[in-house]
Amino acid sequence: MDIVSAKRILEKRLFRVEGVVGVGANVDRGFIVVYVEDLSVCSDMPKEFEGYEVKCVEVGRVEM
Amino acid sequence: MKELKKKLLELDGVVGVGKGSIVIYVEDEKYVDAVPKYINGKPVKVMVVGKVSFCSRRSRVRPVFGGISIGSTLIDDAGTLGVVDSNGYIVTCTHVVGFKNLDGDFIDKRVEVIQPGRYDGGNDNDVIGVVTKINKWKWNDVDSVCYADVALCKCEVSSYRLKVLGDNSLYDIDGWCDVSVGDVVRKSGRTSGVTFHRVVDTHAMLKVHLGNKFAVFDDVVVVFPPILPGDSGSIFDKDGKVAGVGFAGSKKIGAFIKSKYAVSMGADFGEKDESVGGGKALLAVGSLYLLAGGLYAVAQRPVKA
Repeated sequence: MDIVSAKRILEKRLFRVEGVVGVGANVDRGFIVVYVEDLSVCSDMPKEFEGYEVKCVEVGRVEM
Repeated sequence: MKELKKKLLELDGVVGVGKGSIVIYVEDEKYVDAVPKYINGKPVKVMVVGKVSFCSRRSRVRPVFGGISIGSTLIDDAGTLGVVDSNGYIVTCTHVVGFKNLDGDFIDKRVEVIQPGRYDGGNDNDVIGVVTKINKWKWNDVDSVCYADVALCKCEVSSYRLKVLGDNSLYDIDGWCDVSVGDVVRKSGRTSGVTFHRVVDTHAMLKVHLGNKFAVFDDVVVVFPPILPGDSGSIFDKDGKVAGVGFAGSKKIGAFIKSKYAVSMGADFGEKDESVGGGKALLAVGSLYLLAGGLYAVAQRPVKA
């Protein structure tokens, strides 16, 4: 499975999790990124998905 | 073209030179006859736009151009006029000019836009155009995904098309492009001025808040350092090619809508540049700004959204 497809499946699962504000992917380097409001959310995140490393990054609340 | 521009700008009363077909901007009608009718066999279009002077991004500016304050007549807020495109349409964000209140309800009738926005002291005497197209989204629905927060407004005052306010002068926008992770992009915003940012994600889905509401945006570009409240609507460019429209940020990141979504709504930035890879000159300058920009963003995040 390509990384963008893997990311799409993962984001569907994670977007309902409180504190998850985004899911992205670094296509060139082959990892998925989960953006969270607070680092405490990271402990609930998978470390790997469909063979791709999952990195958890604290970015805070995203606003318009 | 650069040499030609220099020579033309030396002429009395000439205040600007456009790209594409040759357009020369002059201060007053009396200077029109002094401008050559043809240059290198190409016809010259002359536009009388008045005297250009630099002032605050948050003050009243005429003719209008990218990088300055804008808002709608309906709400006490301000964002950034991204750019006036080649057809005379202002490109900015829906959430800057397309809400009828601060709760994020979308406009449903003709709405005028003002420069500067009300938050910066603009009023009904500062109308510069009318909102002609916005994209909408559903609030508070994780299953409803949106790809753009872009508005187009017909500009009804004199303007510099495809020009954006830099630090001391206007710079040109000419075309649009995609970006890759690692690229350095530039933006010019009403709040933080000209800043450089590194692209850290080109396929992000983000939950973006407005007060207690949120909307889900997919296929957005994430950059570091952040943009600031009031910068929404600013054009991100790579080597003068539009990369996207800034619309969201947190204490650590900024985000912009890809230019292809603005183009699909009708924004005309010129041709797409299919070449890949960031400009080295912009990268070098940008690296210095990234450090300074990060410190600035941390120190100066204002309260007003």
